[in-house]
Amino acid sequence: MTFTIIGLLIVFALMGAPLFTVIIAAAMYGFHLSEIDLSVMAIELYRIADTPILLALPLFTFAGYLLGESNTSQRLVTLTQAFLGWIPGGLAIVAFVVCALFTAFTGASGVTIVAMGALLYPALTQAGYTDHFSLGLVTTSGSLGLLLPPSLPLILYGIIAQQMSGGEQVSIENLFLAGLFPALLMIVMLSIWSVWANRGNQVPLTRFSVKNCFSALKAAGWEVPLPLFVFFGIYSGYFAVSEAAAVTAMYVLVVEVLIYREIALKKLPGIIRESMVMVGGILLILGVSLALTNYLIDAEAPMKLFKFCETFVASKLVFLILLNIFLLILGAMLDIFSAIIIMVPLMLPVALKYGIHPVHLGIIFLANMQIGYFTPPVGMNLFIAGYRFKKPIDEIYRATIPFMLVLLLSVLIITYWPQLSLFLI
Amino acid sequence: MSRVISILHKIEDALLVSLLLLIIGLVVFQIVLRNGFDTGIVWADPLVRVLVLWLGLIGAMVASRTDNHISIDIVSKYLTTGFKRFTDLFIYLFTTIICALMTQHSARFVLMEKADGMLAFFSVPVWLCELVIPVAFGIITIRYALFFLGNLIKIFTPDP
Amino acid sequence: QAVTIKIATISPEGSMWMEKMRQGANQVAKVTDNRVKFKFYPGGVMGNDKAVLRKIRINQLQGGAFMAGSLSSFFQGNQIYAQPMKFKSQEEVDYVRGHMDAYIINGLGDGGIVCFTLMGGGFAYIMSKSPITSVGDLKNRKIWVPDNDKASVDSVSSFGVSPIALPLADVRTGLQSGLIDTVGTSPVGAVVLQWHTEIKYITNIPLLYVYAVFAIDKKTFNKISPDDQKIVSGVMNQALQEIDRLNRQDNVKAIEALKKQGIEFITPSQEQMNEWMATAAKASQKMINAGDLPKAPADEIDALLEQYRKNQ
Ligand code: NA
Ligand code: NA
Repeated sequence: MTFTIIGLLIVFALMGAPLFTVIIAAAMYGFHLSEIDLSVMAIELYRIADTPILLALPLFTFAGYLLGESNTSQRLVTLTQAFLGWIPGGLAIVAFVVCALFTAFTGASGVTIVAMGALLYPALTQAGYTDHFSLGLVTTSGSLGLLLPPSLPLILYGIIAQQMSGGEQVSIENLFLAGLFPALLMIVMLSIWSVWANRGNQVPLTRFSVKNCFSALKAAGWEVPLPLFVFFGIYSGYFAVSEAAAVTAMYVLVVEVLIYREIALKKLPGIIRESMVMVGGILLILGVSLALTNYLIDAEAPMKLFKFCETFVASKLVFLILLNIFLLILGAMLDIFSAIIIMVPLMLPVALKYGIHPVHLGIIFLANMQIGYFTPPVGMNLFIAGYRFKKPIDEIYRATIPFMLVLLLSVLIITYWPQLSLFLI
Repeated sequence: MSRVISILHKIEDALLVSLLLLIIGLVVFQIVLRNGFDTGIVWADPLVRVLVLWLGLIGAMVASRTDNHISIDIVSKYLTTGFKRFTDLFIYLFTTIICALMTQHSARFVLMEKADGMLAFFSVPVWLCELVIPVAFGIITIRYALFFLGNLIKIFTPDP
Repeated sequence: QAVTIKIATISPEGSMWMEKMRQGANQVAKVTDNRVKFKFYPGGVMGNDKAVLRKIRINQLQGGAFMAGSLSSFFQGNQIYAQPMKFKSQEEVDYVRGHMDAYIINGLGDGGIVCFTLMGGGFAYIMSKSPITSVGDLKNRKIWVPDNDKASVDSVSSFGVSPIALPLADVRTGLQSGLIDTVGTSPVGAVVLQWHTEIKYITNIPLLYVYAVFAIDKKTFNKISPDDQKIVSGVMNQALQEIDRLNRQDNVKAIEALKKQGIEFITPSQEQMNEWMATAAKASQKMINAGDLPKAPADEIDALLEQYRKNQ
């Protein structure tokens, strides 16, 4: 019976049923089997209102749409062309770095794709990258940066692991230090891949000139200070990380509507409407996924799966390989915070037994989860990218897979070369 | 009928715009109060988070106007127009039923919360904040039921 | 008829609290021949206390380990220990608790919540970046309170300052950036959340006594046969007492760790102390007048404390 239902739901999903209804149906069926009152669905959905980090979603999305509607992407292209146009793949590298820093502040809930994608996707195509490549880059970058401070998942890992590691120090500072080089490795490998992938493609190189730089900076004179303004505001204590999104939205609103005047006041309601429909579609999926996650936790499914995998572990190497596979699956199934809370206490004792440093485990854990976000067929960021850029999902799959393979390689290096993570601590 | 629908659309659009501007305004106002006047509104943060839920669900309602939800569209492009009408009919029915169930159970949830009488913040009862869930799903249900009916009619009217 | 009791808590797996609760649960299962089983959902995976209470109402869960404040809708009186600077030492708490715990446990029982020995979490202290010795030092400080926590806001406001409400996740970066410079938490809490690297001073006055409750929904508990109920109560009381005891040790250890970290403990002069107490007493009075605290048991605590202090 259960297999029939699961099969049917997959068929419905493939026939184009809204994904949120498929998730609701799966969760409701599970709760029904466990004889749990189905009003639990609403209880879980209402947890959205208890999650401060989600405030970033509508605000950054709106800011991203405003930037996308004005000529910011052009100015961004001119600017990177002026400063980095002599480096092959200059804009691609900038895009990776920008997305990674952005995700470190916002978490990987798809905000990066929706907000930064609005800016970077047109910029990349304008700069001469193929549509296919740009799409893959933006989708992949949506979870890049989970290893960089002040990433909330990294902090949560620190708090959980600290209490279980039995003597080994798992301070949040150490985790932040340990994440730097693995994150850098990912960006470097993606950048090398980007240059190589575009070797036949004529992304024109430009010669560096101070004059060009100056005029490009001047043209974007109100947009360049935005990230500095936000960083300064946070690190000098004027506002909290969770408030940065509102400050950004307000800043962009004032700059694009009142200063550059590229968006008429009349057009503003339409932009808000369009961007909030996007937010609605994503938030609904996130909300009902909370319910499905809750069912899986209630039924102790992740724990049982881990216990099952554990029976195959015979050595450190096998453990690490299984860990990689297991975490990739998990990353596509559970939201990242639940995954950390549930799995870290189960994994850490086993990892310690095989002599894996708890800080290293944290880096491995998050590096894998990061790829889980866009692992076909069900990585959430794939759907969000398809929705945002109005592309069929199979096109997104094909565009993303090369990037995924590059990152998979980097995760293997990170996993089997502990010193990369640990030499700073 | 179409008057009613266009009024509903205008209300939804206006809600989206005012909710977003209200959220931005509240958070920025908090920052100004804190840095300029050493004070703050205690219930602003919980209010803002409830508004995010409202904004999201109303956005989802608007997305349903045009059946514009996240979905996997792999199979449909290989289907003939005639066959696709049938699968669409089926999907609309499925979506209507699931959303109706969601409406029913979230309405029960809100009634339970009302009986409980808890406060969300200030003196706003929590059930009022939660009311958006059944309302949104109710409207999404109606929209998909109409898609279903429209599709059914199309199947049984011969092509001109 | 076997009964499975699903318990949610925010204590993470692997913590001492979880270990002791699991040990108790295992013993219950053994002694009752699996007629009564516990299942735990640690680390807050079931949501915050409000979400857990909702899930208890629909019977997805049958209980939880809660911070005391979360249960005030079942019994207002369970907040009577939550008066600022009411107790001067752990010994005073022990004396008062010996007389008053039953009042709380029975009150919650009448409200439909079966709970056992209360689990003391120790005292919260004022921890800050620059020294706070007198009430006046609080002026112009940026004091953090959890968002949507009226009780904390009220108690901080009673010292004449307006607090800054932030989500828990923002506290650490907030301390680093100077958005906030003062927090109130227990020594264990400061170490676990790793806030202790960001503060320099602790004002050595017990600010607030915090405790948690291991609660089971009464409807579920009544499904257990009376004999087994006694077993559950006996075993769980023992486990929770153990938690209470170990937690006390952990706080002592945490204080040592904080001192080793170079954090300075500030003891105010007698005069300053009197000022703190007077201001705090006014705050208690305000809570009673507003109907947030029942008057009779609050007066009883005062009487008990007076009696205890006289005998010292
Ligand atoms: Na993101
Ligand atoms: Na936050």
